[in-house]
Amino acid sequence: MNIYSQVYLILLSITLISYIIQFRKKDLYVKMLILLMILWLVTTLAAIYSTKYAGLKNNLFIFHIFTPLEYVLLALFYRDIIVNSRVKKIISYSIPIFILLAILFSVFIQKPDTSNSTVIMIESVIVIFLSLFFLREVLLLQHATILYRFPLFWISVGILFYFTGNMIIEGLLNYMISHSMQLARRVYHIGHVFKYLLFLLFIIGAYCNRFVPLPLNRNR
Amino acid sequence: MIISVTCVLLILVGFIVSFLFIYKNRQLRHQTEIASVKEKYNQEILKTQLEIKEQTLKYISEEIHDNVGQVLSLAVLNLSAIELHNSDIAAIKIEDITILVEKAVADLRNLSKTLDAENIANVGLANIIRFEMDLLEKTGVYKTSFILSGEEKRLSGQREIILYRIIQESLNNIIKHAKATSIKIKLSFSESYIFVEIADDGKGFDMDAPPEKSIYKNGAGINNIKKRAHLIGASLIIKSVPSQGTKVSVTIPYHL
Repeated sequence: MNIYSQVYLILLSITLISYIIQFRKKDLYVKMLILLMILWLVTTLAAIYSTKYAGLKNNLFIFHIFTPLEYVLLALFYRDIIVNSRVKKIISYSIPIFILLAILFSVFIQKPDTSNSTVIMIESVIVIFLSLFFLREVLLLQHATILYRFPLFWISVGILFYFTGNMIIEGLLNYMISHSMQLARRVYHIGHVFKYLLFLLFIIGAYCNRFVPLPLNRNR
Repeated sequence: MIISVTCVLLILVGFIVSFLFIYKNRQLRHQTEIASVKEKYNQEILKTQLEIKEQTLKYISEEIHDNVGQVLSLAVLNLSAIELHNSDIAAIKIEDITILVEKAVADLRNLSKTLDAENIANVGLANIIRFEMDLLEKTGVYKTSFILSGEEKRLSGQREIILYRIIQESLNNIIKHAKATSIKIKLSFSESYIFVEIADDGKGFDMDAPPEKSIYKNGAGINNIKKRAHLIGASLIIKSVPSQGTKVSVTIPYHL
């Protein structure tokens, strides 16, 4: 396990523990975030185990399972925090559609032994749209009295940046590999910066205000 | 690598700072808007209070002229006609005068009770409506009925007084225009709102008729009711059918 993965796992563990401790009242969106972090942790450990200890040469199939699950949790998270009922409905419909799409891509286009970059790109685009939409709602509906003490602001900015970076890297990676492996490796490592930033922003979100209730119209 | 990381960090910080800045600006604008709406609301309340005061003075002058004034004039007439040398007739006259003066005093007391805002706050909406209905019943012109349901809950501040003035305005419209024989008021207190319905069996009016043909030619009464209902956040429904009567329904939530 290289240093990047070690830092990643440490930050992920700290964030996960922070959310379990800090958010005593576990609303649906907090539960989804915790489940998402558990999914990240399990996937990373499974990926490491499969290549290091189980002797598998290719662990990409794990990400074919991981991506739809990640999308489901993120979609449920945004469905809970977004107020607009039409967007909530669209998110609900998007979940089975995305799962179906991911399965179809895995079976016919990007098989489990190759990277599922197209599905990741689609996921990233949707998640970027959802986080931008949520931030727009925060701005228009004036959700918080003091914005920098509003956990969902930091969480959403973190998700926005992580998926924007993810999308750029996934988009460039195959092109880079075909031109220069060294450059591709560099670009891949920049992906870690986005991951670290995500967890740092999540941690800020967890500690910025422990007892701020979600001031949203939560009609589900 | 370092350049890329620095760029990412700069973009992130720039994004967060810009967002916080835009948010703060919007928040300030929002607060200014709220303050201006509040000020407008207070001005409207003040305006309505002044209108109500003006109307009240008009009502007092009419009541004094039509009721108390007439009764006291009659008493004066009786006083001037007393024949002091005929003690039996004088005694009868004095008795009549006493009755007339007592009526005038009672009319003045009722007038005072009806108009006193503090009285409304003290006795509550249900009691003050019941009192109004009793007064109407005593005139012998109207058969009245008052149905109360639910446990009385109070509205905040001026809203209760304005709601009562809406009811008074509706009753005034019935007295002035409807030529009704029966007046019914339903007052119901539910969990989150108050519902009032004022119904009469008078001549009603065509709700689609142009204002100049309407029996409420200037429409001031209904306009006042509409304006006041809007001001206190109540929803208002007026239904009228010619020769079948009119129904005014007001629903007002306890909290705006």
